[in-house]
Amino acid sequence: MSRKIVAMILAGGKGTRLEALTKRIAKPAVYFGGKYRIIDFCLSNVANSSIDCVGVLTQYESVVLNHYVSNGEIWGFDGVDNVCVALPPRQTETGANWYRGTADAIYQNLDFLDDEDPEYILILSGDHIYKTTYDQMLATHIKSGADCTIDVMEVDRKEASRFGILEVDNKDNITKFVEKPAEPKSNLASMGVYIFTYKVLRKALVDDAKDPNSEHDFGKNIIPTMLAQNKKMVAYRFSGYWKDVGTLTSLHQANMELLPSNRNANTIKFNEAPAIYGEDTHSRPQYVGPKAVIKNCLINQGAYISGDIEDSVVSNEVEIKEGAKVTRSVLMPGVVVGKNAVVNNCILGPNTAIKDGEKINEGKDEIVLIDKERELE
Amino acid sequence: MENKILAIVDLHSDANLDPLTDTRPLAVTTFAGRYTFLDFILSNFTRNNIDDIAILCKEQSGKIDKHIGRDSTYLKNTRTGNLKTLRNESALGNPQFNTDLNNLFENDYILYDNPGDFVIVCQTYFVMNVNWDELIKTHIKSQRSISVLYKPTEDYEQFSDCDKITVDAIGDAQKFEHINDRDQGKKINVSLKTYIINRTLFEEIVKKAKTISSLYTIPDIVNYISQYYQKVNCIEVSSFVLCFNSFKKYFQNSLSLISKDIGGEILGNKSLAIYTSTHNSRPVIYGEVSDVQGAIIANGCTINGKVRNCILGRDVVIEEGAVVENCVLFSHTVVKKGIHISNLVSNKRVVFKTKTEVHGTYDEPLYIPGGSII
Repeated sequence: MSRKIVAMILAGGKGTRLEALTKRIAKPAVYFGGKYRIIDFCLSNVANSSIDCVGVLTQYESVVLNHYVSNGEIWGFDGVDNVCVALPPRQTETGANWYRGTADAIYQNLDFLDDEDPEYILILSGDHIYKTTYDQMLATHIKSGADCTIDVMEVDRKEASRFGILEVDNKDNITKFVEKPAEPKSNLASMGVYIFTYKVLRKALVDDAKDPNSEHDFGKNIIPTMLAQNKKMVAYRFSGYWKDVGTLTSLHQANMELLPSNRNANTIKFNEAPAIYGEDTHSRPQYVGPKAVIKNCLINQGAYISGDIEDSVVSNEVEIKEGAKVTRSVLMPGVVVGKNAVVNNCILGPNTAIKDGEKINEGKDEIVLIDKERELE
Repeated sequence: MENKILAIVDLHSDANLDPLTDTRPLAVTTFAGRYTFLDFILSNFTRNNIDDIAILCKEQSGKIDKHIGRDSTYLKNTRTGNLKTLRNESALGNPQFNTDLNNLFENDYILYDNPGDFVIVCQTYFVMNVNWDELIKTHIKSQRSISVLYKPTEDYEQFSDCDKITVDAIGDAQKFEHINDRDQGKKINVSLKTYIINRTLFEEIVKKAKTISSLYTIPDIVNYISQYYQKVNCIEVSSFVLCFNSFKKYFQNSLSLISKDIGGEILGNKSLAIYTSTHNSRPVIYGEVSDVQGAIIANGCTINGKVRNCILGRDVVIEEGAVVENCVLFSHTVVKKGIHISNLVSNKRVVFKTKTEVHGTYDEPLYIPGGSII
């Protein structure tokens, strides 16, 4: 069966900078926004773009993510002729290999792609927070006759060296691409979202696989090589909220940007289209006790709030007991904050228990992560 | 579950919560913010691995189907399990004949398609959490072919307009009769109109009922059998039971869930899953001036005003300066800035926008029909 476009989501990264949050799960499976996991954004964007075939490339601690992706029911991919499949590394006739880079992950699944026979392929990172549909980007790709179209956004010059930076001509044809340049000459950053004409990408991947010096990475190898070969490469400008939540600070900040006090025209609003789909747990409705105080918060069903909470994001099955005070924090599922405890500027990992009367990060500005396996004082 | 069970949810005998049930059957009336009454019954079955379920619909069955959505919401295995909604279409124009037994007679395939040792028949207006495995074992131990569940209580108000059972010394039913004023202050055994019946007898009942009266219901025939044919065993239910058979009780029992004790008994703890169809609603947004105490709140709500002792359904909006007290608000209700409402139940998509004060009382709550603009 031929398809117009297939999406492949790179979701195998460890996300080392998220510390204990990614000790047992991959970064795209980390909880976000009280109800969601990071990968929900990417998969919802794909679903909202009417793309009906998606492969999720998993590797590091893939069990939770493979289970979560399952058959794609959460995002509606369980319909007729839809495909949603996790693609971890596998043993083949020629042996077993881990994915050696983002490009190699796609290369090792060329058989899957050949079976689906797409005209175009959309490559996405599974660890970014943003809402979009890819329809316009695909239309631009087709209209321009490009071999590759890269989603780009303007970033602060000072931040530019953290990204893959593109230089373009006056028609947005890409003239240069440098991965994380020390001295960026442009502020157009790659969002790690690419549309390729499949036949062109297929050849590039096969050639790259034969190169012993390649790191098999899109940013470092595939894109620069295609540019060097004078392939037509076009920038597609994205304007809106986009966040790489690769560090504890950025994850905390992105959660805080969901709160009413921090909302602006650009921030994510879940009740506005396109929708973000996430797992709807079989949780009770949330309960607010007779002495609770709640200001400027985002709180998911299943939470049980008896204490004071302000400027925070709370997941399902969280319990905040009487007398507890929680401020500027992100509480992941199953957290319990004991009576009269204080929690400030924290990310509390799943199932973390804060003891009665315990003070966590009180009066401090830096963000701290408390994991359920922390060493108790 | 060791024994194979066919569970029948009998909506023909459902209570009337007028005016709430004017527009939908009680079974799919909103309850506790995110559920319906049907969810409680079906989830009890799910937790006990009972996955052959037939729902006998009396009317508006489309709303039952809409709520159920996918079988996978309630069934552990959608291949080996069955969840069917049955309707007696030939009796729709002749309501007197639209009984549970006639429905079963019309759809008797459900009896032959589902192998099983026992049949459970239950209603949705009694809300309780029971362990069916234990109840079936108690039924088997009694060596009777029919058991009826009952709740011993002195709470006349809660169970007014229900039936009571006189239970003899060995636990058999002597008499079924309506609860009356003289029962106030006395200990009564309330019939929960929930039966466990041996499969072979149940098939006989369905056939036999036709030869006695074309208008008989399952409770009627059980009553008849207990008088003339065989003993009916009575099984006491020790768990907490709430009865929803009037609009006033709906309002008062709903608000009682906000108390930790009653809410804990009915909504349970983290491990007591209650399954329901989902709507992809986002978490609740509490604004910078929100003031909420004592509430059960479903996802999708946006709260900037003052809320006291309320149940808020999905996607309710309480604007800044609004005050909402002792209310049950169904999904998509909007209370605009500066409006004060209390002691009322608002059906879906009501907007309180101009009249600044809208109040009922705890004993006479107001009802606001769906879609109203106040």
